Amino acid sequence: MHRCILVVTFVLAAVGCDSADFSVLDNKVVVELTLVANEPVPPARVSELAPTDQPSNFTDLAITNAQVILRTGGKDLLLEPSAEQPGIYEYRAGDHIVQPGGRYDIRITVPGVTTSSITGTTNVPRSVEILSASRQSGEYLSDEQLMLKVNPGRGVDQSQSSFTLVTEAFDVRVESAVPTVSGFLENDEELTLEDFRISGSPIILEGNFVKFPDGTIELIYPWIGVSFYGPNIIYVNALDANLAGFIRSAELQQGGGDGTFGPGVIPNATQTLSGAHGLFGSVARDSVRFTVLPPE
Amino acid sequence: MAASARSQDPAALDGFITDASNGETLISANVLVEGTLRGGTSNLSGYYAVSGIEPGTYTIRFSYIGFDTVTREVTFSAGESVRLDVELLVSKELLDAIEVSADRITEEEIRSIGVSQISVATIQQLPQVFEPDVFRSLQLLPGVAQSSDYSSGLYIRGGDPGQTLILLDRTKIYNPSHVFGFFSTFNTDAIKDVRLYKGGFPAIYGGVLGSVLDVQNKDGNRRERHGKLSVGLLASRAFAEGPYSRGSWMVAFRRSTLEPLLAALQGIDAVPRAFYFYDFNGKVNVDASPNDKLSFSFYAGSDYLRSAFTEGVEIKLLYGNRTATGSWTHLWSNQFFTNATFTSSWYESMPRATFSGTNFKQVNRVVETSLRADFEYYPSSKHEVVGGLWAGIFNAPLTNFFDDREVFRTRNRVEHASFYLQDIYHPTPSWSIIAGLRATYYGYGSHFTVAPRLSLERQLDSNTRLQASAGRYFQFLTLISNEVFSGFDFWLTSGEGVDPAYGDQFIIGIKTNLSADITLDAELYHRTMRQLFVLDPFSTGLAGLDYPELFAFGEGTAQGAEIQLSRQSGRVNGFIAYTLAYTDRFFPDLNQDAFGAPQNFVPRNDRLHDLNLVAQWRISRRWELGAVFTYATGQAYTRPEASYSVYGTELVNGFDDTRLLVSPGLNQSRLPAYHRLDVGVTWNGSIRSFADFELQMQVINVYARENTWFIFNDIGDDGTLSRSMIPQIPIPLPNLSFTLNF
Repeated sequence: MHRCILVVTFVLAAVGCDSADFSVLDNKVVVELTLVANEPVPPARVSELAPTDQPSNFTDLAITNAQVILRTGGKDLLLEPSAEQPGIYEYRAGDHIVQPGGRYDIRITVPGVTTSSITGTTNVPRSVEILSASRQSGEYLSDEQLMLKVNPGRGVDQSQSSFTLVTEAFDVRVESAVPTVSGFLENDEELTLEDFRISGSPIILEGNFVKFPDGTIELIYPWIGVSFYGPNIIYVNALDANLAGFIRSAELQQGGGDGTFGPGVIPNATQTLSGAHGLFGSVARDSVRFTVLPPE
Repeated sequence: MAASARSQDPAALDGFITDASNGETLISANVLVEGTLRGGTSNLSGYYAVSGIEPGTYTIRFSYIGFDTVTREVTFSAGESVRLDVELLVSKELLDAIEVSADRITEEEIRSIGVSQISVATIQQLPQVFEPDVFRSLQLLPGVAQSSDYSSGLYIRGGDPGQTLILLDRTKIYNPSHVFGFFSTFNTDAIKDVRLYKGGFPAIYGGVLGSVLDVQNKDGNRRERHGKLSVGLLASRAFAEGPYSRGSWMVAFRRSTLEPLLAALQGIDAVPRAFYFYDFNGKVNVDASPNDKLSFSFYAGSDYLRSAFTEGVEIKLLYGNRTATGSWTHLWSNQFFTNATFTSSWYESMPRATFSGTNFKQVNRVVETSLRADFEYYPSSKHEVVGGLWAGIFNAPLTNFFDDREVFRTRNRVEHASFYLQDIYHPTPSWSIIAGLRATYYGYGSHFTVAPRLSLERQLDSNTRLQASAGRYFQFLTLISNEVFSGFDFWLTSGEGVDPAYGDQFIIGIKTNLSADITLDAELYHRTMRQLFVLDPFSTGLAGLDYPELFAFGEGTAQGAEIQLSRQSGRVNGFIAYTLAYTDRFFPDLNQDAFGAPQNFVPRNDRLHDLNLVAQWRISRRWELGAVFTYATGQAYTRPEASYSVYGTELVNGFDDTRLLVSPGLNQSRLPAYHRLDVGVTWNGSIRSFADFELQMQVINVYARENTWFIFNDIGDDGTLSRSMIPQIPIPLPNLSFTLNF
């Protein structure tokens, strides 16, 4: 009996072997198109995945022979390749304005690269509207924060809106930087003022805010969003499910969130297209101007 | 040694088994009625009962690892019940620290299926990082994997740490870690017994899919006062115990002593402004009568960190556990034993951060109060029936605050009740059949579960046992944890729309004595894990979602073979533990391949091979050497093979170039193999007649192996990916501790 156990031990040890599996990524097309409600159709980008072991830029990776068709309301919008910029596809046949609450489908074929069409769908959030702002200026870190009453945009496929708040500063100087930004600049030589000119929040759900019976919400702008004193524009973005998933994927890959992934465990991004990587999404947006005053 | 047996009503024997030196009850001590194959083991209260003894005169043999065997001659008349409390003396050879008698191995405690045990003395002698640690010692056992040098988390038979029920004096500990996962909460000075059920655990335990760690505090010395002071590089400890008129008491305190070092290092990046941890254990025992024992024990521990990175950015974290246990043991007769226990467990983690005047705070609390009543009934020589009721209230509010406003709160109160019944049936002296059933009602979602358990044991001869076990297990909680930092750990529960996870376990094993002092244990296991629920990392937030929308759902399997070859006596003793294992998970929403198709993945803790060699050499009465060598398959990691950029989201997330990585899927590559050697030497001596001392000098990672913790990916502006190896403990790390026993 004892001998049997020892034999089994060695057999078990022998059959086991460390494995290292690598597979080739065949799905190499990357598409990017983000529609903005109430704005013209922006250019789409079509390219290939970038290898990780050699330098590359968009021009090197651009796919120039794709056919890109956007469809909404039974109408096809053909995005044609740009003559000047390889990999860029523009809608030039008219002046279509992206419809809030509208559904848009994309279909892309790339001869010689994919055998079937790349497809995707986005439901554009309804218009987001800043109905009122509590103030036009405020002292940095004061108790009187900017409060916005917002009519939230929401996609037809969403139970609640997903927001981001983005702040764009217009007085981007060392003298205007808030203390936290000054600290970052002093501690990290690779950072520049431009890195802080536009700052964005993580995704915030509608449920995070005070809701009123009329469906509007009260959004209190946190001081963390401010990088520079002076004039700033605050954008309130309502994201469709695709864009929210993409942004969340990017946060996860950068180690953000309540991740249960261990170190070195990196999930692929949520797919917003069938047959390609990238992003096909939409956003509804409104903005307000707000001047941040240095503390006295 | 049997005397004349008569065909009349059988007699019975029962009592308590204690350590003669300090009165501590001994758990799993063996009792044997020689010449009859009748016997038993003591329970968690040190109580034993043997029935079915034919009238006559017998030699009763009491034994326990590390103690001298005691025999008593007892004459039983028909139907007589004999109460026999026994005290065992610590082995003379062990006291002299020269050589432990080998014959104690021949009657070691029962090695039940799925059970592993490691003595507190061994834990305190093994070379370890800074502090003797229960969890890091358990990681050396077959079937128990570690995630890194920096984590004491227990990954048992393919399960994650949340699948292990951790009990201290029957009370659950919800975050058993110090230093954010580096150590476990258990102060080895205060602990009497550590028992790990890696799988196939009996019906008395429930509420987890995988395993149970049952830790018992010391009762306290019932003979004399005793104290202990220890000074280490990271923390210092104080311990005291002693008798009083009606019983015994014990207190143990441990606190980190890093303040002088932190003060000297202030100004260096990443050095926290403040850090400490402490824990405090205590226990009081009251012998109310010969048949009534009361005990009250408590635990309190906390960790605190305050760090500031730059102007306007500060992080504070306070987390810790409190437990209290009150227990009443009553011996109604030699056939009926009961225990009633009140437990209270409190865990809180409160991370706070201030960033440019904006406050973030999470209040994460678990409060569980429960009452349980257990009985043991010995109706005949062929049956041992145990059962019990457990009812409690689980309160786990998780509240998030942003900018000083509450933005999320989970449901925070669940009533639950469990009932279990188990019969240990001995149809013949060589067969044991343990059949059990555990039924549970869980209030949130009104879930009712029934979990059958069955195990068989066949004694082939005096040295060899075959064992098999099968059972179903349910789990109502899920631990949301990041293995890097346990200070943020929180628990979510099954509920409406979220069914409890469940799984089946199948185990076969053989336990054998190869010689008088060498044992070989081997087990094969297969586990399923179904309806697993974890906080969905892709969820874009928590507020305003229906409860099921918080989760990603999946399943998993684990299978493996474990072998442990042990020598527990002699100048050179130790064990070799080898595990061959595989585990995987399938969460459709968490892992897709490059085409977006869901696929299986292996968790980081999956290790095909895991080998541990543990050796201790008693050179003389004063000197002892110890060594631990570990080899394990490199952990799984994700290796991105491509990337892409999205340029048009600057006014959505603030980045003009959002670059994402693309890989074939989660964890499809392997880090280099892990291996490490730790050694230690212990010098024992005396300071006149005042005290004994122990000086430990240890070196961790003797040959400076640079084991990889994980790969950090950094994409340059030109799109190239640089992969940096983040090391585990990369250098030989010395450790020094001094202990006074008085």
